[in-house]
Amino acid sequence: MILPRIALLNITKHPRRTLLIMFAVMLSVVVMLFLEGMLEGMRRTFFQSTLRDTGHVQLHDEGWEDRINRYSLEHTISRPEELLDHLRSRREVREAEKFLIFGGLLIHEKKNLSAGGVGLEPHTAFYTSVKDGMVEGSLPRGPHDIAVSTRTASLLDVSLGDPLVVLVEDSGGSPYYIEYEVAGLFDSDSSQFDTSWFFLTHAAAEELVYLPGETTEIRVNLTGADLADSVASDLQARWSDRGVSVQTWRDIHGSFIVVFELFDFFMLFIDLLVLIVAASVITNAILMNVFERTREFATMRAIGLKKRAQFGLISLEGATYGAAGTLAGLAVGVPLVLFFAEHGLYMGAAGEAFEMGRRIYFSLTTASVVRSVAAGVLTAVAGSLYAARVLGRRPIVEMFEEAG
Amino acid sequence: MPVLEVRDVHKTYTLGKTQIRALRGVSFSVEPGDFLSIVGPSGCGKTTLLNILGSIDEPSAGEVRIDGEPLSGLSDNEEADMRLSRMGFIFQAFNLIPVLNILENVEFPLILAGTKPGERRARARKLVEAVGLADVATHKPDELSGGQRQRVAIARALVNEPEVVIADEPTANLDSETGAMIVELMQRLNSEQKVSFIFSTHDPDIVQYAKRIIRLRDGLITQVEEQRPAGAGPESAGSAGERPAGDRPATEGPGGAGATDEGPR
Repeated sequence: MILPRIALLNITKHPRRTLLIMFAVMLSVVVMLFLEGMLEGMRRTFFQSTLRDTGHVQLHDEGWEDRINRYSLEHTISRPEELLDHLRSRREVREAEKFLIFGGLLIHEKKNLSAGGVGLEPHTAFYTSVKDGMVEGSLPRGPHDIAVSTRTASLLDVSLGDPLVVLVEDSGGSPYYIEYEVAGLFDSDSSQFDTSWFFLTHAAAEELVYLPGETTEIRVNLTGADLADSVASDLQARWSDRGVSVQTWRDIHGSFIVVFELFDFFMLFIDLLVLIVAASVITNAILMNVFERTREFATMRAIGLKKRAQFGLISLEGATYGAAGTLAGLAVGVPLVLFFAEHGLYMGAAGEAFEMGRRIYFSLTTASVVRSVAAGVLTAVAGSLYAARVLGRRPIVEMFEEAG
Repeated sequence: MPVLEVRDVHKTYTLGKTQIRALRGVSFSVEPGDFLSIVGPSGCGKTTLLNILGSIDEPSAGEVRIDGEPLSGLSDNEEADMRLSRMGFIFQAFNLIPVLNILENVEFPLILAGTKPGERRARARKLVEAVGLADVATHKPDELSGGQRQRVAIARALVNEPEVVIADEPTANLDSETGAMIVELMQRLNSEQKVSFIFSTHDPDIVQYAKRIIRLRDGLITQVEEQRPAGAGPESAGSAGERPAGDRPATEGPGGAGATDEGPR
């Protein structure tokens, strides 16, 4: 037990240097926890929120993907209820709903705003950010209800209960308008989304764009995202003769998924950078610590301490620095990540660019904690192993000469 | 059989393009119970020789044997074991482990040797008492005077009951009175424990205590002397302050400069 005692006593002998090494380890653990918590939060927000709104699988009319106008009404699904009945009977399907997407002009007195309209079921399971962000009223339930964002309402100078005209080019290519009453005001935490979309009931939308008994898309939430491929291929085979095209969430969000994969590499790069900086600080401090005690090590070796015991002693000091620094890092990093998991980190337009809202809510996972702990301890141990190796290669006589 | 045999040891250092011949064919032997002083001016090769004897440096040529066994060819671990069990070291700068207390410093070689805790604590205590430091046994080295520290180093060197203790200028960092006390302590332990001591010095007052003196100059043995050491015998027993004056019988080494007690090679 004398070597652990020597290691511990040496650590406490130089409090400043010990604090420097521990601070470097702590900082690397905190930065890793922070970055991984942020990335995991973004990923979770993306999958939970965005996927929940767009579904794991979407059904459209064939050729819908190639449309020029994003609000085109040329590609519609007839008799969607038949498809929905089948979908809702499947075990893998949690929710299946029809949505009628169209473009329109919102007009109030002399103000107007071009936006996309969504016709949906009154008690939709989708658009959670809109439901959760409802400031006044509710999603449309009746044929004359319309829900717009508070930002849109502000731009058009309307309030709850005010009339609002929606002008569209119907499925026949003719202009048509209906006056609705503002039944709900929402704030989805994405200003881009808020000024881009308004909501009617599906029936009201069918009437407005003159597509009775039709819809533009069916969204399906499955019990697991990993079931999407098998369900999609089954549905595609089943309904190819009806001219239905089936896309999975990977097809729909391909660009975002690529960005997330790139994010993984970016975060790996940042993690490595953090570790390299931390490792160089730690290694230099440990080297300084070890070489300041060259005479002590030389004496112990002369007395009969074996090289591997010297190696063990220095590594033990490194491991202790690593463990203490990592614990301090966890003590700071975990509450920090949990704070941002609760309150979110304001990202503004950067967050909206990834359709995750203005705030990014962090997520703490066991894997990220384990990775940070391993990185913290291993960085300090690696630094001390390097120092031990450098010292271990020196003959005793050289160590004495160096010590003077 | 000699405890240590040094046979035609050479040591050459290379500094850039310059070769420095620190030892140029040194031969002698150390008998059990010897109290041998290696004397010479700075740079004559004393420390190099002691380092080679202690197996913490290797000769460029020649051989060192301990109890007839050559030191060359030992692995790092074997050398460490040999130093641990058969040699003791006393350094000019004391070289105690600063974070350990006095008792722990003395105990340290026994811990490395795997001695049982009860036994090692008892042996360490006995030696700490023998060097007169029982009352400061739990103090840290930086709380002691230079003389006290060197006494700790002596206790540490003897704790594993080595065959030979190598001391490189053990009194150089001490005042003359304390230096004399340290050498007297070494002398007492040498006679009580029958451990051979080899110590280097350039202090003529300290040299008087040696039974044998090897004079080194420019890496060569110039003279081997045997003498009646100060502090030995009834006429000078006891006191640290009593040091007899200089005239002692000197034995010119056979062959003069470069010769050894075993004759020229």
